[in-house]
Amino acid sequence: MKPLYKLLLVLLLLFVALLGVDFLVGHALDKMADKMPDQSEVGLTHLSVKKVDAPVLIIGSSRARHHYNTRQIEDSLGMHAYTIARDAHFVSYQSAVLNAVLDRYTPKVVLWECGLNNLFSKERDAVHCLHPYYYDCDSLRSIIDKKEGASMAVKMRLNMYRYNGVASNILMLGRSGARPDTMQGFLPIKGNLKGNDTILKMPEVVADTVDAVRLDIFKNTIKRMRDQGVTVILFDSPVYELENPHRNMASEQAIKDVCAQYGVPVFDNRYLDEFRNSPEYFFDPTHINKEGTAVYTPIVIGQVRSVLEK
Amino acid sequence: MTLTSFAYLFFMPVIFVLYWLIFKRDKNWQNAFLLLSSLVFYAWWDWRFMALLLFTAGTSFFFGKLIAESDSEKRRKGLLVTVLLLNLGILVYYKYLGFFIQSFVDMFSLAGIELSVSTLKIVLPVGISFYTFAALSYDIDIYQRKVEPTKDWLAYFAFVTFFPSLLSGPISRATKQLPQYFQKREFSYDISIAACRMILWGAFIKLCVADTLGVYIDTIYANMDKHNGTTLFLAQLLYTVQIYADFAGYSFMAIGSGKLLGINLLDNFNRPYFAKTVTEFWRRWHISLTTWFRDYIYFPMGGNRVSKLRWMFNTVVVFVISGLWHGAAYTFLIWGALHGIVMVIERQLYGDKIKNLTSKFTLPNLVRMFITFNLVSIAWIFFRQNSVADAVHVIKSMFTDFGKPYINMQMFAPAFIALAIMWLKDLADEYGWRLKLLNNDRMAVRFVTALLLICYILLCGELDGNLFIYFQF
Repeated sequence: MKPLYKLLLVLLLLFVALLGVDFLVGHALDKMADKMPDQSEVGLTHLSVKKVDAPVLIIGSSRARHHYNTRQIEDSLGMHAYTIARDAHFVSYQSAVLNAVLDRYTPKVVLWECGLNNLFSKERDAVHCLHPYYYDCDSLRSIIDKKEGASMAVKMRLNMYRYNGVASNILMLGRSGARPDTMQGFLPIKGNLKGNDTILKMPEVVADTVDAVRLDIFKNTIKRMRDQGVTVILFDSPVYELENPHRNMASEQAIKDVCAQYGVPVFDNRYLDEFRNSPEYFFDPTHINKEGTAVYTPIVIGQVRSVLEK
Repeated sequence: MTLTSFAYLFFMPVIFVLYWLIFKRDKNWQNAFLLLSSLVFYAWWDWRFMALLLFTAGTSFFFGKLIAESDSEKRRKGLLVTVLLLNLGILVYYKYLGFFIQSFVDMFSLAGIELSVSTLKIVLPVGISFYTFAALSYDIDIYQRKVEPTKDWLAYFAFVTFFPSLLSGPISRATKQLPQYFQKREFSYDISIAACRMILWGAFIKLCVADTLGVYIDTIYANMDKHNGTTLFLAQLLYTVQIYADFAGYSFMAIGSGKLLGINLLDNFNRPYFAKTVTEFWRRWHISLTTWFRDYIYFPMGGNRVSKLRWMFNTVVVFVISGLWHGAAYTFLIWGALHGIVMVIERQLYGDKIKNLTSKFTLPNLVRMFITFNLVSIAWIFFRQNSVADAVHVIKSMFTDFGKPYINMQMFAPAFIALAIMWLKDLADEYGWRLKLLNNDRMAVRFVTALLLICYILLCGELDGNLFIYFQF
């Protein structure tokens, strides 16, 4: 055999062996992912995409996960509630998860803390951790393709690629990052503002532009929820002031425009009087602590009631 | 397209198969195909700068011919200076003009005179520092009569634009690489297999060590004010590892890609963190750049055949220039100067013994390695930070603000396993220990090792993530 063909044959054999291993590893990870504890990061995403069935859902990033006392909301509204927010996962992730939920069932109320600045192109917006579910739901797949390009359809053929970056957490059985004190997805934060933490830096927002892909994903998700009869309410929870007064308002305006178009109420709670000059309610400039949550959740419940009673 | 990108995964095999099946007829066909492939590769980044690449290659080719044809020494020198000014001028314009203008403004500002200069926004053409140096080496070598000028323009352009080394080196040298393009390359199974192993190993340390550590390091440095000195110290140690894994990984992939096409590139790394002195570190780190500076700047300045004081000056100057080559910022300048100064001090401490330190695995050598690693690591702080103030803040915090380090096991675990594998292999290679996996005598072991590395990359590598750190230079 010619040396070149011999090399190509060896590479082909390696590729075939890789496909075999990929098949086995992929199936093993699929099984293991199903058994991940809900308090772990990967388990939370798995639950959000495949299992959650509560009529009231709270979604967003860390500000949603740590600011809304789910049990208090559940008791007050008389409906089962669950927080499916994940730290550092923003509009596109949240939209994809909501679409996956809508593929399975129609929740009654969705409280969405999407972050009014999160449509800016420089803000993080990864959907990487949703790769394992690429083939499970069409709408989720289309969001990943929109975000990451058409080549994803090829890459996702490899099971191991689907689990890239997630596998280590699954193999550690979700121990890493798991918070047993999570209650129906809600995780209160302990601690107070200190030292330099009081200054919120966001200069990059000033010169940034709205990400058209993100806006499109957000708009389609809002439209779909409204078409299916879901009561969607947008929130932005308190911040410890100090935002850049010259900041670009484009993202905020774009979100508010979409909400106005589809009749979605927006409660901009960033500058509530109860939280102004009250550092004891904050963990850092963008996150309220356990004490702050105790003050904030009743305000949210009142706002939700006002919408539901209309 | 980077060497670890998804596109390259298709680009390289297609080029490889076409090269050996269709364009194998003679060296002209091979060179023409290599040139075309390199231009496509470069245009993938930014087709607008292709003209600049061809201009640099073209002028150095043309001036090389003129230098060689000239009988007058004065004219030869004049031609060399012209081509140097021309190509270095382009480099200075794209890379340093903004820095020089800002420094000028700062200088006046110190004297109380405020100058208003609009900020220059010049996009840096990717790989310009690397291909400019490769092209200049040709003219300088002709001037120094180390190499004959070639009439084979196709071979020359294929040499300067050779895509595996185009963006981040290893910096090609006319004396060593160019002759390879003058003859037809023959396919070798053994060399190609070795090349595949190099590419795989390079991808592994880049994606699983450098890029996974990079996620942690970037997170820390993006919020430096919120982390204590212990965390900053840990991040700095990891950055020391990251930059090695990143650049060595890239170099292995580039050298492997070159070998697959029958072209041998220069070695660029030789386990630098096993160096026992900073002087030795520079014989092991970015070898193609170090030897370039040695041959074209240090030696012409007199090297070590000058007075002690002049030698000290030469050494520091060469390293300051090396720092500036990496980037137009005071941080790089300080980084280079620190290396130069430490090398001068080492020479005073060790004397001529510095050349003859044993490479045995002994306690004194381990202590020397430890000291060298930490000196290099401290210098990297200036290399990594955006400003001198940030670098000083990191150093100050490291020694004053102790506390519990921020550790994210989900981020750390896969990176540390890969790091341990990398370190074990380097250790075994350094001391000649028998730890053969990818090059084991048994095919089954080689096969399984390759398979496991690929699986690890797919599961735990930071795919579609960071660019190579050296791309910015």
